[in-house]
Amino acid sequence: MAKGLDVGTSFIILASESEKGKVIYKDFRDAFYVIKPATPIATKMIEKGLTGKVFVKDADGSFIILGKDAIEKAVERNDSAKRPMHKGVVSSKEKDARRILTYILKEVSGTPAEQGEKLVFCVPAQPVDQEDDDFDVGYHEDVIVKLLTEVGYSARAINEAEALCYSELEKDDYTGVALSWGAGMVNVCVMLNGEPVVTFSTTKSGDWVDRMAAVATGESDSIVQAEKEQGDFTIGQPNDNQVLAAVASYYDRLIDYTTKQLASSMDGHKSLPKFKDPLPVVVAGGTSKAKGFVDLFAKKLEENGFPLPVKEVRHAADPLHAVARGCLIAAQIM
Amino acid sequence: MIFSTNILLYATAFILGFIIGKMNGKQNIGDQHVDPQGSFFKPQIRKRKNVEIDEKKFVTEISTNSLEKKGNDLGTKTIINDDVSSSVSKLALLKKNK
Repeated sequence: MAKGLDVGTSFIILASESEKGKVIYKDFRDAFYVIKPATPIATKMIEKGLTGKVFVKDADGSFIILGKDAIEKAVERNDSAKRPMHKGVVSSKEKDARRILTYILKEVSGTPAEQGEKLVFCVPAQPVDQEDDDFDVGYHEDVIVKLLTEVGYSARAINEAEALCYSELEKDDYTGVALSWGAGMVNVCVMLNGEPVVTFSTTKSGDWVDRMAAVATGESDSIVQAEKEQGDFTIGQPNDNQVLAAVASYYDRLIDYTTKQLASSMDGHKSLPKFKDPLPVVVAGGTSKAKGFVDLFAKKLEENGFPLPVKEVRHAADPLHAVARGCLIAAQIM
Repeated sequence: MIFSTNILLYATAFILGFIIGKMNGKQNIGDQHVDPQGSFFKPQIRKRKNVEIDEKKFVTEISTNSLEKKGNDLGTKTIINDDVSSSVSKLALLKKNK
């Protein structure tokens, strides 16, 4: 038995096989919201109000609501939910981030089927557009390996976009380009016959769209996120809803920025082989699910001078679960 | 004949002078260690041994004991009909042949 774990900024997804031909995904929204009651009566009232929600009680008496319930509660209070992760790694901004992330990961991954069960989880690549000492993939990886080892797994990390290649490039003999558009980052991998030749990331993705749209409309990030995920909009097209109009506009800018970064980072890259045939480009991740995303991305790739020959730009079969699926495949070979 | 004798004398005098000079020179310096510093016009590039410190952050104990589970279980489960075995075999074969 083996498991794959996509540790994302917005979602944590566990992939496992129950029997041959069936993959089980366990999704959990990576968010929390803390309510600290002021009086014992308030404690009772809040606890009653949280019936049916996912939450824990901390030693200091505060309630920590987890997952999508945290976002709903934050929206209800016109506030923003907190994230235990920021831009693909454990957040250094939130005091409780490591503790909450550890709790969520332990709960989502569960106990191993046997001691030392193989588990592969994803980590982001070093970003090309940010020189920041705080961005520490090594530390993030160590935190996750430590907690999963404590639970009883034999855990190893894989690059996020490499995992996506393993999930989506089987019919292309594992040769092509994969982009995982998460909430915090865009991870990129160029693969040749199953070997990653170039991997990197950029630090603007879905969260950047939410933040910019929130600033433009004066709403909280959580409200923008909720509108974005439930509302109807097409990238680059006008919308009567002000929040969705801003989201559509910033999506356009994000795709333009990312394709320019792709062109600039890959042009003349020493590790890039000379591909004789045009390559498939696969996109996945929650941010890529917006209407009009793939078409605009393909158009911008061409306009902004992507240096590799492109056969097609396609969406992953299951954009939200593709990375976790790739981790599961890697775990079975490990 | 006179010409070749002169050459022999000059060569002998040069060799003797070289040996005496070399001996005197060593006596002046003695066993002292000489560290070449280079000059203004030809700076000596000194080979430095880089000493690096391990800045990798240390992962301290992360306890979640204070968190008491109260509400529902975490995560939404979905089961999808999907056979990953062909991907696993194809990729394993590629990796094996490398």
